[in-house]
Amino acid sequence: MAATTAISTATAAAEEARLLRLEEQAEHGGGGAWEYLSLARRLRARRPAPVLRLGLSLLNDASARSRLASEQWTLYEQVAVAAMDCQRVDVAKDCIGVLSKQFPGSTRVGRLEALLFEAKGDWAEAERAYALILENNPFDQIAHKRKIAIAKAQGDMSVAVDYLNKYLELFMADHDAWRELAEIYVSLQMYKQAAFCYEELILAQPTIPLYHLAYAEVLYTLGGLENLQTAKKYYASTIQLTGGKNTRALFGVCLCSAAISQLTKGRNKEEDSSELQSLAAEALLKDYKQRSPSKEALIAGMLKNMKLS
Amino acid sequence: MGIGYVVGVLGGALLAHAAYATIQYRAVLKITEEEFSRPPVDVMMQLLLGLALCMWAGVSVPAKFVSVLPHSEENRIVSLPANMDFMIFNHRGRALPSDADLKLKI
Amino acid sequence: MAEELVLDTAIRDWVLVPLSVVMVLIGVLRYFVSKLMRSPPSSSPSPDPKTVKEGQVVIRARSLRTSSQFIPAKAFKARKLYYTNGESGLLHVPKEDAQKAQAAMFSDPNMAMDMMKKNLSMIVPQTLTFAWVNFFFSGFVAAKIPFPLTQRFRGMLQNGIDLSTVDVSYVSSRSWYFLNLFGLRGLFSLILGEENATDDAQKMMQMGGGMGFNPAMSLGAEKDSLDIIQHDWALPKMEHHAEEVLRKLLKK
Repeated sequence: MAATTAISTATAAAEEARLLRLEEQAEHGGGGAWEYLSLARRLRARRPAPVLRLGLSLLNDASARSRLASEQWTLYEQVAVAAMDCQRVDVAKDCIGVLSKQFPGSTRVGRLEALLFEAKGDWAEAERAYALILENNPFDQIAHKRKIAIAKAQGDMSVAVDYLNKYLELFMADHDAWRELAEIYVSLQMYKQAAFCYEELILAQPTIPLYHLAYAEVLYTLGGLENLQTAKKYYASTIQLTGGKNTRALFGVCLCSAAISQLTKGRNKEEDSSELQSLAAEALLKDYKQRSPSKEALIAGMLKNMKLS
Repeated sequence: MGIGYVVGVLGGALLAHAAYATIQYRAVLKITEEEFSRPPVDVMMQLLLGLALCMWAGVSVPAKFVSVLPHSEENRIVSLPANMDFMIFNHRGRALPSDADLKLKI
Repeated sequence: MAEELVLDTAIRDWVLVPLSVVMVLIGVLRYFVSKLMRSPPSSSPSPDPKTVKEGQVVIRARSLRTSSQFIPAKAFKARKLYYTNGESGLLHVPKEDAQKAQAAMFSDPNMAMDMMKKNLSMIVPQTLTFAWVNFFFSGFVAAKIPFPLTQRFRGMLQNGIDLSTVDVSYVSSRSWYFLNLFGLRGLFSLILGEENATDDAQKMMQMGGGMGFNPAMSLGAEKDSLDIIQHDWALPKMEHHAEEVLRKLLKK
């Protein structure tokens, strides 16, 4: 089971910048293709087109391949997945063929083959393949997750939610699955349930601002005075965790405080003691002035409507 | 690499020389039948210098330092990894044809 | 180092080299024997769903305990109830279950057998070779290390010679045996492949800690610590922190 659970970490700004820089460099023939591919794999970035192009150029070069030694098989796997993502089933098939010749009977290759059925849209075949994998090892988390993904790909959201709930009953520490469930709930407009999932995610990784932000957004959407106040707090914590660089959180604070003041009109409570919203509005204005001066007037007007500046 | 590497080798050599000098010194002491109390001053100097050089090399040669402060700008978390375990293929990749000459040569 | 001991070349030919060769061969032999004795199919017995779930529950409960201050009080209360609510809580362990787990640990014949096999393959050849070395080669110096060492190494290098006047850089034959026993791991991993090296030190460690994990116990401990924590919502403070952050940002 250890092999199947990749540790998921959020991507830090420096690493994302490095990924983009390496991609630029490698795409223009500046080398560093392997570093790019490794980094993309580590950050679990979904960038199929460049991965496919650069990965194939490495794999088609015999000397580069022999330099990678045993790492080349991981590259074959990565390229196969990227090829499926680009709908290049032929390339993916070739890669999987090489891998299955190298590792006959491997579950990992079996999963790739099943994924290939998915990419072709052959749902029944894919289901059968995953069922086979699960028969051998009923705790294959990836196969379970893929079954959920098949349901999702067919647009069968309620089945996907059912599967996910059943999966989380057993593997309840898997925050990738919690995140997926949260996103599905949001897409189904089941915000109460989504809020629960985001609480779970915040508990698991309290330092990731994006979960705070998503939770705040769900609460804001739910509405009601108490939820709005909580949402504002979570927007504030997002601002704190991102150093005020997250525009969404800044807007969120403004919207929340506008909504709260509308709800509490007449009976002005202690709420106004905080300066947060005006500071956020100021930060927004400053940000727009720097990055998009043409839209500054628009923002200023909007904020004025909200009586924030 | 480069200069840091050379400095590291130099420091190592200095330490080795200090060790050798100490052994020599003790051999002399054995002949003159004196008690060994502490290594001579020049050996101490070599040791300190060697230590400093080795430390400098050890810190500078392997790689650059990475910031670990959670509040430094480069460590701010900006995005989540793609949820690859749940990825589905119903997207614009289906409509956008990719380069036909991308092929795995076997 | 006034007078050097002169070692007979016959010692090298008839003690040092044979001892090393025998140690390597015994290591290889032991590897194959233990491979033969290992019960074939149970390489990774499929875990019981209950244990998997218990492990996951513990992880989740732990994250609730450590970062409870990040969720609203209502959400925390609901979760706490969910985990620790009497008989129906997730962290509840039925009494007889706990005992059963203990008993199963000891009565599982397969496991006991495995342990015994492992021990057997480790201890028997070790005692035999030790007796052999003791019988034939005890009590003399077999090699000399080309650099001086401090007195503390005497116990390590001159096991079996009780003379304090011999220079520490001389190695007794019995110590050579021990050095080989513990030092040949690298060589084994070269010969037999990475993971197959017969690693004595690690095996001994496993014997000590292998019996440790008991899900029932960790569930109970997690329940107790969840019961006593106080919920202290950190978010209201966050607004002030956020204000400070924004002020700093605006000043720039």
